[in-house]
Amino acid sequence: MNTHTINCPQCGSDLPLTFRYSKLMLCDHCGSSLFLEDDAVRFAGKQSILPEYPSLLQLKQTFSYLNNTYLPVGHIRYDYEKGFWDEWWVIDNSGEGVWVTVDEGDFAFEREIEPPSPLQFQDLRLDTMFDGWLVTERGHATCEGFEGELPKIVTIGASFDYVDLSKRGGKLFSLEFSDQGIKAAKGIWVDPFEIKVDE
Amino acid sequence: MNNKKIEGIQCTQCNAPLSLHGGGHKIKSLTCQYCGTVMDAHNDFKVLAQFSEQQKPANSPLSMGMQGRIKGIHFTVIGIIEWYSEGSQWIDYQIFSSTHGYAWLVHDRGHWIFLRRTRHLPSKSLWSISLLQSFTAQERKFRLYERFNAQITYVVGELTWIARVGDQTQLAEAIAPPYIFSEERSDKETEFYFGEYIDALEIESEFGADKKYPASKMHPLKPYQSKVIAPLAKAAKPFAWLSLFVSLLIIFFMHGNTVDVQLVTTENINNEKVQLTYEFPVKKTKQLIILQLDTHSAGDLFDFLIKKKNSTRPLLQLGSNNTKGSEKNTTFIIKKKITSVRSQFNVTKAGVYQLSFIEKKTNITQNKFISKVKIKIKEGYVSAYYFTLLLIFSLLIIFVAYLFRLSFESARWRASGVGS
Repeated sequence: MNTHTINCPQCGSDLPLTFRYSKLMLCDHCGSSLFLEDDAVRFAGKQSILPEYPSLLQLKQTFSYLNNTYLPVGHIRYDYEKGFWDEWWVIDNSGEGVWVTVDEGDFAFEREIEPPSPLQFQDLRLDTMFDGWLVTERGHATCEGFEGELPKIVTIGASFDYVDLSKRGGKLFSLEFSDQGIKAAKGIWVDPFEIKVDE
Repeated sequence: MNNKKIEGIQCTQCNAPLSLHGGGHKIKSLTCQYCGTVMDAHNDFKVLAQFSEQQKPANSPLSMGMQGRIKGIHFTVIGIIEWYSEGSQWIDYQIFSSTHGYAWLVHDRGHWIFLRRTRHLPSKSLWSISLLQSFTAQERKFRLYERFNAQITYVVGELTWIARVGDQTQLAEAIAPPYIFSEERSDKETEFYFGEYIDALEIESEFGADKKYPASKMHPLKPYQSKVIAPLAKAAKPFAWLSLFVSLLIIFFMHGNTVDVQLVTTENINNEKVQLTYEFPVKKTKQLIILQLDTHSAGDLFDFLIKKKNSTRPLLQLGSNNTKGSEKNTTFIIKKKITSVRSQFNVTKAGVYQLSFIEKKTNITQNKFISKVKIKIKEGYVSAYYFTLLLIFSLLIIFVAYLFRLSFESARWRASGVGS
């Protein structure tokens, strides 16, 4: 996997950039959030370090799933009513990125898609069907923090409503409703026992 | 919430100190092991129900808080449920891993099953098919084993659902040993589980499970095991293939080449003694020689003698009553007036050999004659005899192993009520 290096505008540390389309990065050394805009790197503020919990996935530690190898390069944590979930931005062998959502042993691979419109959070009630999908979970979440590099800008403390929909075959469809609009992703639930983390 | 983890609380009913064993934020209920109070873990441990009379399972090899690894992943026992159905009881242990989430360890008549919830739905609903009918799930073909209703008789600890003594559920279980796929229906939801049989020794050594509960002889998921016949059959398979291959190779390509075929017609010899001699060459001494004689003689009246030309020492004497010499396998068939002789033998030196027909001494006074003698000599012949024997022996072992397996599988399905 090709990497190039940028310099943190706050502390000057070298920061290897793994994904060339990354838009947000956290400096490992000083904890600065950095916007990556074309060739420019802009300071976006500081965040506290995310508390560490036991996790199968770790930043920069490759893992394999179904004969593909993935490298986690970024990680976002969201708070919700029941606890928290993690979203890992991982890069596969071909350099393509995919999100891995992890919530206490529930693992899902997801790719962002164009959201269906028009759609309202209120219309998607629990146990109802939407376009062949069953609404299995809905709630409100807040971005608690991030680490590594990400392909999108996230704002710490920003909150949104979310809906999870399921379909036969372990398929997952998730929607996020915020002031910025709707974000959608489709994916599949995976068995964590089939994820092999490289030693 | 597991980011605000607490290690213990007091029962909101009896104030007993309760240890929390690390279940995460999906824990919905906590049941006091002292007074049987079921508390809502998502609502300040509000009392949902109380079952002070519940009896602790008499045969529980695991206890709350026990830890061990399954498939290399560290789990902790955080909850216990005992079930009852149609005269039998079993225990489900809710276990939790901080990296892999929740799972169940089921202890059923001394056998262990590791069960996890799956979101991959089966190709058919387990309620829409009949017993033994198959469907696909988890990329495997399962067959429906049984359907039954079960009732909770004991519950304690942290659980991912609110469980109360007396709660009932409908279960449909399908198997593809050692794997299981089950569908569980309650008033509120339907969930699917995928699991596999785990060796009791693994649970005993990993979790320190009590060993005093011996396993029943049969369990639906128990893999077929045989210490002798199955390994023997496995070892016999390559031998069967090898002997089949070699036998076919010999039969088709190493059957030797014909040296000579002659049809000899003799004259009436009345009551005179007769001695005919026939000569044939032998070039190959390493392989067998085949002698095939078909005579239209008056029954069993002649013996056959083979010797090297100009040698006085007979190499082989063939007769219906006495056969001696360097022969390997001789068949002597006499049917009515036809005598058929087939003999395999080998010689040590190449050269010309003689076959003589020697009349037996009998009291029969009628005319004796050999009207026609068909003589066929082949050399360079390799016998498939021993490879054929090996093939038969290997197939026999494989067949016996198959019968053992069939008997085991029959017993497995008989327990479901469909095998009988």
